Amino acid sequence: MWKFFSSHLLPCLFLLATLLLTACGSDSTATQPVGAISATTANNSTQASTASNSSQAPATTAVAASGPATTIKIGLVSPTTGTNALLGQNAKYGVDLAVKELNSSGELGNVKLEVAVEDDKCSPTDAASAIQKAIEQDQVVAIIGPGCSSAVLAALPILDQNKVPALAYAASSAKITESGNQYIFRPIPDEIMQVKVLGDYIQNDLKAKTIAFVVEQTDAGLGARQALMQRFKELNSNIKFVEDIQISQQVTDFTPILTRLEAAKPDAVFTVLLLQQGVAFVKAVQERQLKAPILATVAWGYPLFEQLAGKAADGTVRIAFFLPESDDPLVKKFSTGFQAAYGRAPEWQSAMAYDSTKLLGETIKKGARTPQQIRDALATIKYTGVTGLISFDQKNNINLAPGKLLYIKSQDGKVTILGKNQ
Amino acid sequence: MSDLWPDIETREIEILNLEVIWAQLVNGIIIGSSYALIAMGLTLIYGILGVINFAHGELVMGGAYGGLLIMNATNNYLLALLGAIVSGAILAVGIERIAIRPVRKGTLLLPLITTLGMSLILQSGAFLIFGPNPQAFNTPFIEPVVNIGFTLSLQRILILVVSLVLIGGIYAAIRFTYAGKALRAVAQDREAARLMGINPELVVILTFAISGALAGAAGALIGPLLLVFPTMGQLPLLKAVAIVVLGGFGNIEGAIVAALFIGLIESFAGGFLPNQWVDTIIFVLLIAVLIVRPTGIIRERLEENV
Repeated sequence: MWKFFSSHLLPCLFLLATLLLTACGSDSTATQPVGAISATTANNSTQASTASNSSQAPATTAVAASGPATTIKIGLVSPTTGTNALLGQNAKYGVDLAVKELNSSGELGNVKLEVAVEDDKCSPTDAASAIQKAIEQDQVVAIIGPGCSSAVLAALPILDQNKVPALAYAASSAKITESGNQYIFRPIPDEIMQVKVLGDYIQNDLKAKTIAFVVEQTDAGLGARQALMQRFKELNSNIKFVEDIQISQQVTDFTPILTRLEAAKPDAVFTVLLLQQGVAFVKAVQERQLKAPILATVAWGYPLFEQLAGKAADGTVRIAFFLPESDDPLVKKFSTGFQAAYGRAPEWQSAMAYDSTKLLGETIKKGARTPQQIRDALATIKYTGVTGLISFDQKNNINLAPGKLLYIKSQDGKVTILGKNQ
Repeated sequence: MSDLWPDIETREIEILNLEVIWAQLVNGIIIGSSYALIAMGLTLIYGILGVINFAHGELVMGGAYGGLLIMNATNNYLLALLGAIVSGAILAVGIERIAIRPVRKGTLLLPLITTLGMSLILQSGAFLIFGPNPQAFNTPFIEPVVNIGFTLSLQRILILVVSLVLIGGIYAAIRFTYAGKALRAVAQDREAARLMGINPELVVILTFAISGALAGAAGALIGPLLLVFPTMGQLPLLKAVAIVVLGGFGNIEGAIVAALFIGLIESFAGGFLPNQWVDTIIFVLLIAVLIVRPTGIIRERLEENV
């Protein structure tokens, strides 16, 4: 009798505990951030409601002041699980913070924002079903996401079919806005803009004669590689490509690749890698004492990369368009709030997801309620967020203001700005 | 390389460069030794139970996190290694109790499913406890390098040394101690072993503990080279299964040889061929071996497997 229980009791208890844990742990609505933001919500909401009830603001710029409270659902489609789960977490933090602020400040009047989170696992197939679920089941009017470029490209036909707008807050592939799809908006600088700055740096500052590529085999990786080659052609460069390495996102051991790079002796190495792979790569570079400067896109972010790579990050040069320690008062306020809520400095993905949510908030303030209205409002929007001025051209690609793209050099855990785009 | 811009020159690397071959050889042996640590445990369990533990990768992950926690607390890498070994062993015994013991009377398909489930539970558990952020595991061996024709960090040499010690130790224990004999007896014939006065249940627990200890050590050895994150055990599991198949299910010598073999292939193929070919080559080899020599590349001695 005891034998029966002892061999079955433990597993049963264990399974019960697991079920309870997962049930309590999951949620699909905005989480409660701790700290400064929630302390002020009580004050703000009472002030805002009295203000909106007494105002007779014109309909074009204000939200409907009277009437019952409405809930607008937006979707966050990002890699919640998988190799890119960090991107998903960064995005969720940014969106949650923005939603909390929008809901508590009362600037949306009697509209309350709700977020439905779907997992795209950074893969095209999962992205397609995640978008489908967000639109049909969760009934969202707008989407922030998907995360990775490959996922966004897979989602385009579905967005078009259902006429729901989406903000690809982290996708750099140029193909997205070249597609002609009117429902996808890209608020970050694309790969062509990013490599233009890097290409100029490699050609004019480093004066490199040879270059090696180490890129991931995704739309983002191959697209950036092609864009850089194109840039060198535009600059009439005589640079020689001595190594062309394309790897999957699962590779963790870079030693064989380092051996190839050692043999090729490049003057510079251009990478498009996930954060984890980037850290493993620069650690291998440090171990093999490869002297070539390592260049990267925004994929590594800041400051998490320096924290994980340590000394191996020294000397690397990469693109940035958001630094949490900037002097800009909007950035300062955002960074402080983020630090208080989540205990670390915000990465650019959080800043971009935050601004994307605020963009949707702006369209709601202008009176947009349906997906089509939101899309039309986004097309003509001009908004200054923590990532700077955001407005879109006819292809729904970001209008890149001069000085928005930085290239930064890492040293001793900190970064210095080497230059900006003209 | 020149497919996009035929007019831009590219430079061919000399493939038969001795330096390159030497570097790939050494690296292959080191990778192979860490794979051997992981695969040995997996093949031992198969020898005893006839079951592939699909949560084996999570033992590597558990060892890495256990070692990391102790390293952060004490800043002593030796303690961290020991901690990894212990946490791996405990985790393995836990998996045996929860996912394997209750279903041992059923078909051999059941443990496959339950261990797969345990794998997911452990990954999600690590996700919930530690977050999706990868974490750096810093040891005093990562930075110092030695130059043996190319530079490599002391951590890699440590991997080789510790793997040799652990594998050699376990191998000797299985060959020369009474407990080892008991293990081999249960692997051969469970009921006969019971008749000889050996308690198979204890032997099973011991085997799981050993497999967890080895996998946990592997986690704390390779974790510092990469990063520690919840799904870090998935790739090692795939490689370990491939090694167990190549080396012969339950065959320890086979596992060691196959591990070195796979390590060398990864190193040389990764070094000389486009990267996407490496996995293809390994699994094509796997299929070929299964067709031509189903019992593995080592000739199986018919009288015993372990």
